[in-house]
Amino acid sequence: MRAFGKRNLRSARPVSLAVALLSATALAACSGSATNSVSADKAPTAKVSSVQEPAGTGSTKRLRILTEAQYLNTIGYVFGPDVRPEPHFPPAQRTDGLLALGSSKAGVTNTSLELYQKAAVTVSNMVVDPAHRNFLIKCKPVDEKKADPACAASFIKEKGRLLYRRPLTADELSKITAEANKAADRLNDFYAGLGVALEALLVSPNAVFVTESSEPDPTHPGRERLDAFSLATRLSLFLWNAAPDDDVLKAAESGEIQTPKGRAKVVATMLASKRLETGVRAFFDDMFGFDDFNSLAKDSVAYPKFTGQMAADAREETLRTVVDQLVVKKGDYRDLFTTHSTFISPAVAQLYGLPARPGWQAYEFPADVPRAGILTQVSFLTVHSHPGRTSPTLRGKALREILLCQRVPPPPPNVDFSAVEDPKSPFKTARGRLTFHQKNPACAGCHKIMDPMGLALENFDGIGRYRTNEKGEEIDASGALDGKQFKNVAELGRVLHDHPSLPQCLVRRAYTYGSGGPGSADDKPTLDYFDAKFAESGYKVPELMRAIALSNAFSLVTPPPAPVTNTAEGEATTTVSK
Amino acid sequence: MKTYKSALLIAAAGIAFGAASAHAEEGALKNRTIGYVMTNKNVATWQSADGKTECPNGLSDGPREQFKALYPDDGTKRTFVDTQLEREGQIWNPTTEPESPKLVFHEATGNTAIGLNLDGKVGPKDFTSPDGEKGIDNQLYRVVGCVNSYRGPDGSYRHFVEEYMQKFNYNRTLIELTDVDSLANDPDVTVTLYRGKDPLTLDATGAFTSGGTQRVDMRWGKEFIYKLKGKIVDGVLTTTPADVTYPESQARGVPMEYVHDWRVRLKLSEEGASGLMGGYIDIDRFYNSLGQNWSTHHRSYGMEAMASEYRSLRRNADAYPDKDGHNTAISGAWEVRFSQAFIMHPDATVASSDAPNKTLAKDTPAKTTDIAR
Repeated sequence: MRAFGKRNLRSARPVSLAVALLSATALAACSGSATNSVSADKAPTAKVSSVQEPAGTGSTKRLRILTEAQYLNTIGYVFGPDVRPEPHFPPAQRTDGLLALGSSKAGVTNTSLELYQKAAVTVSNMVVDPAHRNFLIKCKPVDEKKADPACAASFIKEKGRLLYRRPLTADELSKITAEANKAADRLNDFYAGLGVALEALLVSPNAVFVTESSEPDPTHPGRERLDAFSLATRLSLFLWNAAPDDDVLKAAESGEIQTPKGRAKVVATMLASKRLETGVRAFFDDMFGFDDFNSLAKDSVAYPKFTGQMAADAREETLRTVVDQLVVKKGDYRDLFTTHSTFISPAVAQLYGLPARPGWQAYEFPADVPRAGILTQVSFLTVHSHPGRTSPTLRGKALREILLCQRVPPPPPNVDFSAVEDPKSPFKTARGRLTFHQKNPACAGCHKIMDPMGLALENFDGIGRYRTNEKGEEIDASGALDGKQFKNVAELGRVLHDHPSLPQCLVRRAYTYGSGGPGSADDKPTLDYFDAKFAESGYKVPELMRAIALSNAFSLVTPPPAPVTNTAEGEATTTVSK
Repeated sequence: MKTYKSALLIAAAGIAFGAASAHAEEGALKNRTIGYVMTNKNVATWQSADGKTECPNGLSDGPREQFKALYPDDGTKRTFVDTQLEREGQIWNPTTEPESPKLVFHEATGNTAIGLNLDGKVGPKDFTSPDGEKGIDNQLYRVVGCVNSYRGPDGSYRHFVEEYMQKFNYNRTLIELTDVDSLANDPDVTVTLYRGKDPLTLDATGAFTSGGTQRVDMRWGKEFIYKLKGKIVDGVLTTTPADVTYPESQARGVPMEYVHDWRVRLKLSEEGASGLMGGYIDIDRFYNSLGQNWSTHHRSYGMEAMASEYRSLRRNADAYPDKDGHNTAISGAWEVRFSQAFIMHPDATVASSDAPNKTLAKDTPAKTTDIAR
């Protein structure tokens, strides 16, 4: 790194060169071979399970970039919650249903690296400022106007380990400390010099990129496993959406994390941590496609009541429901689609016609109120609607794709939307308009897949308010989902609850999210195993996360699958068939 | 009619247990209760198309114009004490003594005014409303009808009152209707006034909207709680007169208004309510609030000369004479708008135990005295 010295003259170029070198190294190392294995959940302390992981499972080593949330969570855990830049890193491309998987395909430009550098400057300036230095920097320099090699090395060693997710090599520590000292002497300020060093740590590819590496697995001769620090980081990003903490790194340093018992202990500790809520929130925010809230806009003429605060709170309502149901209550994942429990704020309460004191409060919809499950929460209903009206098609498509992992083809290019968009349509309800629209055979096939579930949600308008009629005509919310009939949205929730693809879809998403990249057709036995483990646990998400985290599929390395070009969206993906 | 305590219990239970039917999200009238929060309040000021009917001589001068009239820039050397402080002192020590003929203050003329018939009579000084209702008691209109601040659409107070209504919670005025069978017609409803303590709810366009929540201020707002009787006829709520004090602060001070025989006439809907509130306004409190609420800066932009206005208030006072026979109150009205809001009580126990045993509803109109102008 030549980026030290004159801070104002530093450019992103050396960084990007270093990134390129590092990336090439990491990608070249992504190889391995399959062999029989024994999973970590067979540790002596693990509960005896009738479900056994099949032989030969494993996942590909990845090179991925930290997401903004992972970066911010890590910074917050290392330096405290008030050290919080607003970096606005470029979002990843949604891949196989998840943004997180796009981070393994992210292109990095000098411009985007500048964003990391700006964030690094903000963080380093805050850490060394007089308000923070006394408790974030444990040692004190002998003279604040001069370099103090011992103190600088102590700080860089401590924070560098947390930011690189591994101990710094002696060479790295020596070079960065030397730059800190040089800058301190040049600027006549120990803390300014330390800030330069911290900035370099933060913008380093070692911090920004997750480069998984492997080693021969002594318990599975002929196979590779993630090395201890790669495993620690993969676990931590999966369960906490942040870099590993000191304890997890210690388990990696000691090698404990590579033993079945030690890994089970580490995972148990991580699952018991408050940080699990952050991890679960991040996963479901990603899986539910809530990044769409970032660009959500409603027509203020059609829906003047809908405000930006409502959008933000709608997202938060569902995430709170998820965390409460899945983490706090350790409930059945499927019950998310039938539960009457939720959380309300003054903003979302307006849409529910409820009073609410400032802040968030738990709320239980009465049993006879047609709000059951997260499909009937404002978030799902609002995001999957048009700006000025509902869309049974969008809602049905979202339900199929997001919750059941089914793929709905895009509409034909010459589709005629006039029947559904005509404001003077003789059909008062969406059902009437869509029925007419389906007279076009080119449209009917897909709409029959999507619309029935979407029409079940027509009792809620485009911002999620309950209604019984549209333009004076009573809404018929009945339909069928894959052969199961329902009369209304509450029954749809129960049908969805019992749909076999519902938990299977979550398993697929959770596994690919945890292993850091899209799955492949070869994953079917692995996914079958997790399906069985999930069912055995009573569909408890933390237990699914434990099963994934302790599996060989998570830690043993397989060669990357050959990419298959997807025709429809130009994505390079492979399809997991189940 | 249920007791106050039971009404509070019902309201609290409604909040605790939420909606009770499949259609509970429809409609704001729940558990025979509906609440409203005040969003707009302007002194009822009727204006002709060109303003010449009520202000044939133009609008009144404000502080800047009066200062210039009294102390022209003619080379005379004047002290701060004899000019600015002198005028400031006159504002805070008002008198009914005649003021300098150099000062221009116009009272509104004509027979048309917006307001309520407070005494049930048609007196010689009374107005007729724009829609033909006779006996309108609104002598305050005589006083402020030609003061720029109060006139629409751009009167200074009209702008600031609305802005401050949104910015500050001090004036948060709530009306809760309980024992309501129908918002269209109900001969007997209970109307309870509270002070709320939450911000007003705005929609995406920045307009006040319904469906927000207001917590009752049971800490510092107890003095503003009143239980009144009312009736709803063809969707219009009227309340029996009661002496009411309500908060009246515009960004500074902690003033209030004291109004004899206060009542409302509001067109109700599930989204909101609008109409008039009025009564006989205690002049000393009105004047004090005016001084606390508005700086000379505001009054200058609104051309409101307080000391001149005080004389007019006294001249036009029409009710509640003191022992010397001088009226202490003046009839007046405000045009008001409310948005529907859920009124949240601390909890049933606290609400019932803290509820004031204060029922000031009156069955007979106030005794009024018209005085010669």
